[in-house]
Amino acid sequence: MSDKDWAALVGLAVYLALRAVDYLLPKGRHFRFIDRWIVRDDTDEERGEHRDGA
Amino acid sequence: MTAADAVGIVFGRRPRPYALAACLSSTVLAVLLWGGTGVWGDHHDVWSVATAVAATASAVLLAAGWALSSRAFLEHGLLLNAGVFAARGAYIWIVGGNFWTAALSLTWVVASGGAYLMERTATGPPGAPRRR
Repeated sequence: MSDKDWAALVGLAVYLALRAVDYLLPKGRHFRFIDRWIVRDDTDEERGEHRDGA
Repeated sequence: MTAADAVGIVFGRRPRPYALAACLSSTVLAVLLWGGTGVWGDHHDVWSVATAVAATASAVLLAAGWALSSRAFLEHGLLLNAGVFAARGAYIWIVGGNFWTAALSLTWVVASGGAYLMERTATGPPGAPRRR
């Protein structure tokens, strides 16, 4: 295999590894440090700006 | 002051600075790969074409993810961005190129991979405040 083949395989491996980590992370959880850095914002303006209305 | 007040709204959508940066980096990489002008060199073998296609897809998905407010597009764009920069970094490393040039690519892998995992653990639409 050429150098490019190996390099592309490394890229593919990283892609699959990230998918695997995502698969293994427990669902319905989020990183705790996010809570430390953001605050809740419940204004109507915030809610209304998204297309899907979520 | 809300987050929207702080950063403003662009074309009715919340700005996504990291997605924009990743989109631009994927675009540059795609141009280099298709043009055969970067460290990758000749681009006529199957893996080179696959890497170029992945870089192009990453740029398109990140742009579409922002324009369509699609978290799925953003996630796949970030994932592909991490993959193509991993390939670039690995290639530079394998051929004995400058370590720091390879490390620069690996920083994109860490940033985009981390952003992907954070998007996956977030709830609600892209950029929305997290709610429980």
